[in-house]
Amino acid sequence: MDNFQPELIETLLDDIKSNYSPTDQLASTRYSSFDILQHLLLRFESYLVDHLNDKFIDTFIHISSNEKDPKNLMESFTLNKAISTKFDISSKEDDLFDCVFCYFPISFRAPANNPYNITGDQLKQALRDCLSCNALYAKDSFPNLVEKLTSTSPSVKMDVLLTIKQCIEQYPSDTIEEYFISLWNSLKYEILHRELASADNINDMLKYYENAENEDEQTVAVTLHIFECFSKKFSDVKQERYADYLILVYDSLKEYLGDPESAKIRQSSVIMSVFCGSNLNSYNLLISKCLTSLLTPLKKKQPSDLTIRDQRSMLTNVSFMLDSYHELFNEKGLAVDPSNNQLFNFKDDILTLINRALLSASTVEVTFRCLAIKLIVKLFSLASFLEIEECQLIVQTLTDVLLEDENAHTFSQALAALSEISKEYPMIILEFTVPRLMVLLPDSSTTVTSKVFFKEKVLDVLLTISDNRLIINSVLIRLLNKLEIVLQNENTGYYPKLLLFSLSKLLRTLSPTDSTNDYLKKFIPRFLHLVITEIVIKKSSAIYEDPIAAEYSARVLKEIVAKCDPSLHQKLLDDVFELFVGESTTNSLLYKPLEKPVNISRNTVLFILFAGICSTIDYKAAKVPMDSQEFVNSIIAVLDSGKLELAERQAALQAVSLVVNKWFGSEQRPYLLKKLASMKGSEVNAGSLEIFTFVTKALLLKNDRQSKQFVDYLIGLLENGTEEIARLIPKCFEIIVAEADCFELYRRPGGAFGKWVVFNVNVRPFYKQKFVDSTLPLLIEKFRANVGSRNHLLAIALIVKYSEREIIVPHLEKILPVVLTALMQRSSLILSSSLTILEIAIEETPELIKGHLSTLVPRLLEVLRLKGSTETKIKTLECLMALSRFPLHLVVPFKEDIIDGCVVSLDDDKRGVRRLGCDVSQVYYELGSEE
Amino acid sequence: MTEPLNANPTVLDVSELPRRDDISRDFSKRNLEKSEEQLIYSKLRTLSLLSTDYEDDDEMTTDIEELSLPELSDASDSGDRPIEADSDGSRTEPIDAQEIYDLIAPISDPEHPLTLGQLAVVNLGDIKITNPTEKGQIGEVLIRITPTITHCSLATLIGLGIRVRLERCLPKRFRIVILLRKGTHQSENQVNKQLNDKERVSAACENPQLLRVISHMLSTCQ
Repeated sequence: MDNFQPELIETLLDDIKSNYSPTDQLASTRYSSFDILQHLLLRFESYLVDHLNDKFIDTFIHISSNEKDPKNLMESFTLNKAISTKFDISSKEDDLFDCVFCYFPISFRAPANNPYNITGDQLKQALRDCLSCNALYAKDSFPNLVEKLTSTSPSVKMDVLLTIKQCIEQYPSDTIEEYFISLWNSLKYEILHRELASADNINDMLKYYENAENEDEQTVAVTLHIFECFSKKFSDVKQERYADYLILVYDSLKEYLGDPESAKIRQSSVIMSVFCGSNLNSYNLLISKCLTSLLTPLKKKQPSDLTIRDQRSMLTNVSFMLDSYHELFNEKGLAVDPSNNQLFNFKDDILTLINRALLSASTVEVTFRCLAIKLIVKLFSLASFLEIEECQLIVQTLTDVLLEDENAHTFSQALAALSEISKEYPMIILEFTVPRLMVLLPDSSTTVTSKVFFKEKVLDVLLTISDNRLIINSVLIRLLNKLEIVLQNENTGYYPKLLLFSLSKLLRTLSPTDSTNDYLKKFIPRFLHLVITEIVIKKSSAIYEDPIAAEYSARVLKEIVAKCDPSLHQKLLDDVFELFVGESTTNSLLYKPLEKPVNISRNTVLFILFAGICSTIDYKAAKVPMDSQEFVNSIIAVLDSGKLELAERQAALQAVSLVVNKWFGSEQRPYLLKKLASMKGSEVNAGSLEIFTFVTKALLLKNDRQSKQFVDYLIGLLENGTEEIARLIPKCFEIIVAEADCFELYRRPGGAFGKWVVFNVNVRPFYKQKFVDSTLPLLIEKFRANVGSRNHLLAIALIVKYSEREIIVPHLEKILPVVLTALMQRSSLILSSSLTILEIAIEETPELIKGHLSTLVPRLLEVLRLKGSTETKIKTLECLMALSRFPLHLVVPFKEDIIDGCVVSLDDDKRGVRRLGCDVSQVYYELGSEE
Repeated sequence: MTEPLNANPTVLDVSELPRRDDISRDFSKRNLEKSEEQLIYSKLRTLSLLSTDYEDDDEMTTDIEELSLPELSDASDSGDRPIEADSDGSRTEPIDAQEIYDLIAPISDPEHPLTLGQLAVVNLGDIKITNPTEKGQIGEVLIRITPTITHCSLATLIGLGIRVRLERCLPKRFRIVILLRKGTHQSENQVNKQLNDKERVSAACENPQLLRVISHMLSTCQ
């Protein structure tokens, strides 16, 4: 084309027009003609526009008539769009329009191999682009589109609506004005004549319809978006005619908006909310009119005449109108000017509405009252809408509802609302809700403060609304005060323990970034003094030597220590040792001296508190203030004395384990080796084995290289130990892999790039995998060597029980033969573990299972028939369920057997088993019936 | 297109359907702190060598029925089980009306894309169950269904669907009676007779075409 001169264009165009007949040519030839025009346009656009405007258009119309090939059509549409935007088409607009619109609606669907590389949607979009690119088409496009809107096919309707939407977006507003009425009149029925889905706000509703599966529902969303476009076109308040049209929209919906019994009021409110929410000008123009209409019943009728139905309708629809405020002033962040925002004029009416629902309506009207509560949440969410006094009033009302309404649904709604409000307005909750709840907490378990609101419920509510640091601070101190009083009056342990439990839960809601530094001064000294006195000093106390009370207290301390600054940990640990080991009675951890000194080796229940604190001390920031070996020896001495309760002994063992894990370094290696040697040298008993296991656990968690020797020794005991000891070994493995509370991980930001790192214990991320990978094959091998060795099998089962699926998968192939043997066992523990492995295997390595189906299925059914524990039954059914996903030809032979086998589970005592039994048999009944 | 006469029945939202009481906020029925205590002890026992009833598990020869493994099997599921006085695993949960409702409410209506529960064809109040404690005795389930309109031609099909579902899911000791609620259907007696006629029901179940429709109705039950 380099040597092609513009003068030649006219000849070329003439030639194409007179000598080329597109209908006689193949699609690829026709494509060339579009190509030529494209190129001409590309190179000589201005020349064409200036000199050959009409001729070029005529040529284009000539070559594009009757085109049917999708690829050519794409070209044709692109050209058409270019012409419509760049050329003067005023004399040819009809022809050009017909040239495009004759294809509407496009029903093209690309064939499976898609030879054109064009989808139906691309064609539809190209066509839409043509129609919307020049406002001159409006006079043809809108009437034609409206006419097609009556189509019964949802996909055509969808196409029409999307096209209308794009046209409105693209055409200038004075064009839209002309067609406003006709468009509105036909589009409004798309919404008005439809039951709208229930949704709390407009956004949810739009989302629901946008994601709807069928196109018929999607049209709702598009129609609402069209209304948004209408509203957005009102960009200048001086467009008076446009404003008139918007008012006309309101006028046509007025009769529905003002009549709470109308079937169309909801639809109308949604439409108006969409209009208001998309443009500030429309909002200012319409919001006051809409609310006036919606609230007519409130103004016109006597309060006594207002039916619940009227009020319910007002609540629902006013709520939709508030969404427009939310959209403009929250989402779009426009500045709020109360003097100029007409919604503020209706604030009192809305509040009256809410008050009527919550204060004067019967509590039986559950959904009605819940609507009002939802509206409250919405009001609070509106940016700078409520005054602080109004917030206070509403919170008081809500608190009344919370405390007085006995309906569970209303109660939970009110609670949710308060908890939501507490995030933004903690002070108001603190002032109006918390005190009223605290009053309901009795001073002893025999006093009754409220029949509905017993103490468990009060505590639960308190925990739920404590979503904010300020509230937690206050509730924490108040609960501690309550605990002090209760402990004076009480002689049973339940209520004090409940309070301690609540305290521990309250502190757990703190996030890791909340600092508890001030609790060290304000809370711990009083708390620790109280707890130590009550648990170990005061013999008459309701919680004297109560391990559970100690456990809850330990949790409280644990949380506080974990979340205070690491620089304070050394001092803290020093003080703890001084208090619990050094027998000091005055300490920065106590606000006044203890009556007498305490010591963990005498007052062994204190081990629980001690282990709790130790577990969250940062082990890099703080060191044990005495020789760690000596300290471990002293605890072991206490353990060996053998007079400890279960919980105390466990805590002492955890303390040993924690010290070994956190504070033993390379210099303690010889000490540990000596321990190992002395184990080997002497006769093993259960007590020493237990200590040994906890030490092993501590080493294993930090991947210490000594841990292998320790584990090997345990494995050795399986064969070499006395029968009694060998029987305990599987349990040792369980202790090693089971999660222990003292090794719970606490993280804080501190690593490279602000990564969150574990600071409280030395636990390597892959320790379990490493342990399983090295131990499991060994155990399997040993099990095969001594077939029938129950202890080996049990050890395998227990390790598997605590291991994640990913860790087990690599061992499946080796472990499966063990599983098949294990299914013959009758111990529910072994069965349960084997079923776990089996289920993993069915999903991960079906090829290993396929060959065994004929033995496996009868065996599983046998397990079901024998009525094991609920857990085994459920796992068996889950395995059967998993098998149903195998290829049909493999499972269909067992179909009848499995259905018969499941019958026994249909009459099980446990509902969970019956339900699963139903599901499994249902699946097998339907198996293969699709074919 | 002529619209079916009952094109717009009232539809209940799934959240409005009756369900087993959620006891999570019902404080009269549970004791948070007590259950936490049990959890603590079961955890402690898991980690203890000395205080286990470990040997109980050792009876290789006993049948599973006799085997009790309190702490080992409890530890894994005591987290979400409502705890009663001494929560052994032996508490029975008898089949009740709610359970029957849960079985049949999710069946799809043959002509609406909704479930029988949502259309209020089956209602919790219309299910009566006689469930003898002794498992050897015969029990009875009586269900009254409410067709969406009085001339619903598919009432028999719905009834048949419910019967097939229950026969598959209930133990054989239950006798199942399905009736239309009084005054809800023009040919109430005829339909009732048809639904509870053994011969006709089993004949219907042998009709592959009918069975396919029923399979389709039951496909939403999971």
